[in-house]
Amino acid sequence: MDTMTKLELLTAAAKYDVACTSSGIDRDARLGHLGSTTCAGICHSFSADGRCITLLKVLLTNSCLYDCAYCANRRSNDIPRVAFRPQELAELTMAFYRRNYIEGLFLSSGIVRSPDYTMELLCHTLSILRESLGFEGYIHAKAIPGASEALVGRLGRLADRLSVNIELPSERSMQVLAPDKSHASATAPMGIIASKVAQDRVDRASSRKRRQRFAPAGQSTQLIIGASPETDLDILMLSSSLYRRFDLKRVFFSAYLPHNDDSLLPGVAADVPLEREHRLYQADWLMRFYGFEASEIVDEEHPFLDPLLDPKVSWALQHPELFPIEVNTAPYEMLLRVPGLGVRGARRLVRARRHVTLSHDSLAALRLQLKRMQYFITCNGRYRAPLAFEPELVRSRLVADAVSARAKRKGGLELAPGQLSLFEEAQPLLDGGPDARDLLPPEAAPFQPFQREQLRAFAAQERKLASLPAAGCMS
Amino acid sequence: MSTCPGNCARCTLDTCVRKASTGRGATRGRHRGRGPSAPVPRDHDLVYLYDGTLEGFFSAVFATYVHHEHPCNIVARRHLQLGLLQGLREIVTRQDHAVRVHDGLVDKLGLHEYERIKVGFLSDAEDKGGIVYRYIAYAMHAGSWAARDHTHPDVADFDRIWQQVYGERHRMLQFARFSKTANGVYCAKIAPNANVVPLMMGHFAARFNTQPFLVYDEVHHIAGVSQEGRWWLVPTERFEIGPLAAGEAQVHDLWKRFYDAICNEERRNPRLRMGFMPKRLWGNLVEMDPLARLDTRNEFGLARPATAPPDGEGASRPAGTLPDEGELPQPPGTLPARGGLLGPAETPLDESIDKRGPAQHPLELPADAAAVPTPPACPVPPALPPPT
Repeated sequence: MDTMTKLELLTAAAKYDVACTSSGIDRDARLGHLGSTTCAGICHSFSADGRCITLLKVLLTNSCLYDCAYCANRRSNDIPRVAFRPQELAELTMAFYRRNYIEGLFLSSGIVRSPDYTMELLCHTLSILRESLGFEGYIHAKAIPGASEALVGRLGRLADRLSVNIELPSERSMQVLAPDKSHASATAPMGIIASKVAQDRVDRASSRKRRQRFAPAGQSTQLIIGASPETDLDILMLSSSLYRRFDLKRVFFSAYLPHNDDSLLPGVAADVPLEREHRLYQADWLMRFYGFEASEIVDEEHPFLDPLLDPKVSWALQHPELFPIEVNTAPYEMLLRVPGLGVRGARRLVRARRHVTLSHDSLAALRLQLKRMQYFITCNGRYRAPLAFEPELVRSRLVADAVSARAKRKGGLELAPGQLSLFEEAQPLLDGGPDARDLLPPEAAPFQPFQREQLRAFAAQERKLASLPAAGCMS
Repeated sequence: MSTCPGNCARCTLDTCVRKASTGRGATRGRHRGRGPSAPVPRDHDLVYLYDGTLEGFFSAVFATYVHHEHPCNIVARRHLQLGLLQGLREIVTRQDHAVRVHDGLVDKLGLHEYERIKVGFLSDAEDKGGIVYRYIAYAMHAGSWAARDHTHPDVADFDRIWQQVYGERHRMLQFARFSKTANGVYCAKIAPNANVVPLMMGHFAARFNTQPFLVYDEVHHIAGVSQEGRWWLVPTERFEIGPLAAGEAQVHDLWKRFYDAICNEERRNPRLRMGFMPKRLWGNLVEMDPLARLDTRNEFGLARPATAPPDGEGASRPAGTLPDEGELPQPPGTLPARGGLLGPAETPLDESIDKRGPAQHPLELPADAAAVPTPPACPVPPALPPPT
């Protein structure tokens, strides 16, 4: 079995683990050793599915004891089982690293013989990299649930980031789909890792000796979306409790890719829930960087995230009493809640308003995108947006924008020359109170040419909107 | 009747004396010495010509103060395109003038700002000379606090080109690909849209301090050379990478295999990929090489799924079978016997790997290509202290 085939098979087996960042630790290079890390991480390539490749992501072996229903490497699947030799994998990592293909290694493994034995194999491989070959780059290792504390400790001294995948968001799904595992078996090593990371921070503060740190880039985990019937509310509540309990750096969401034919899972022809995964990542960002709580984004009445509007806009439209806010005086925490304004934009805004009173032109000079922001802000008392701030109107306009952007991304409709696409966007105004699902362009719908009556109705609607009282100074 | 709210950010008075004096808006008491914040004027009939070096640029800046002029652009000789009725002033590069400008900048604005100005200077924008000059003039006149007002047009323009240069530097750190040549030097070729080699070499020289390497910028004709943590810049018009090391093609193939295998076919999204990795960068990327795709793809161009072919068909040695035929299949959760982990240590990767003929790679020239030319003699820079 040559390295080429092994690499291909074990990469294909590892690709379902979406955790692949090289961030979290700044480590300077050492003379005589190869490698360094940067806190922000560096993405060295992007695969054809658009995701970043920053580490050599492989399994040590795809041979596994367990039979988790969702996993491509489960023991009841008939696939070729191969394994790297530790020396072989270490040298492959070094060869790629020297050529600036990768930032480091992402190493996971199927469970071989027992969790402790698998951990020992992982530690052996990493110690060849770190100790024999002097590698100073980034290593992300998966800790195996059920392994002993001493082995977790040893792995953490060799790796920069550790992770344990919970995979299924609820204990019940776990019992059905992965009877060999349980939530407790995954959270136990996470607790061990969290306490060791905290202990390491205390030790570093008190001692000056240069010592190997324990998982300096923290730990992360992964949840599979769409393999089991949990709602977005369940997933986000679990995610926020994991961040609190275990001080995680990231919770990754992986849309379930149907490859196993199993009666317990969505069929092989099922859609991949990419949109839902995207919204969950947006909600996760809101919780981590924008100061939102999970209960503000989803609740019992709306347990799922809106597929057409991002969670920030949904929240803003549910709290219209807070908007529009004045950018020159609003606190930073409130600026973060403005849709269309990100963390960097808010920081730029706060720094700029120390120098000068901001107007819409100065926001443009700061390279802020006003397209969504304009409905939710005033500059020095002035509100400059095409629509008055009424939640339903703004909602329909933003939904129409999202739909037309999506249609454009998917290649758009065939337009005869001279005909405008304005009509597409005008439809929500004509219907008055659109249902979000109706606005999705149906696959087989032919393009509707202009009708005279519809044109007149559209013009009448525009006149009605223009006659609404202009929003004056909001003092 | 409205009174002064005491906070210029909330002021709505039009008659405020502070506002009138600055002409722009908010100011606070402690900015008393700030001076007018009007944009630096531009004389559209005047262009300065310099030699393209940083010292030449600073000499041009010095000349603007000497002659009390505000050229609309400062261009290097090779980029000169005079408009109708535009006057030209040629600047002679003078080291003492450049040093005076440098000292003035560092004293007034600090080292961090000075480094930012150098980064902005490395831009390839046509009007970069004018933009950097106006930023310097505004910052020197209005002070370091005003230089951080990103709504000011001169500062905003400079910010924009700084962002372009720094972004290109990050992209080159991401996408520079090294290949080992026969003499042991790792060479990379890049084609950035800003002159970023001076900004990249520190990062690579520290990270790859155990190997000699070279980064060649084929657009700006400059190479960065490094050994043992120290690095130098070598301007050179032409550069040919010599023959690649034995086994280098196999490493390229391994990387391509990995790149193809890691893609989730159900989530294929070339548009998303292109947003992060624009096509202009693909020419120097090993994994995007359209040639020599080997046999990793089926007839539709999709990666082969990693399953064993049915018995009796398929390749000469189907994936997953062991060299010894007739062995029993391994029980689940054990290591494959022959491919297992307890075998004898293998020889290093580059030499012992699967012995195929080298695939033709863009970086690899035919055997009779000229050897790597020695760079032109340049003064040996003083020995730098080793990186800590």
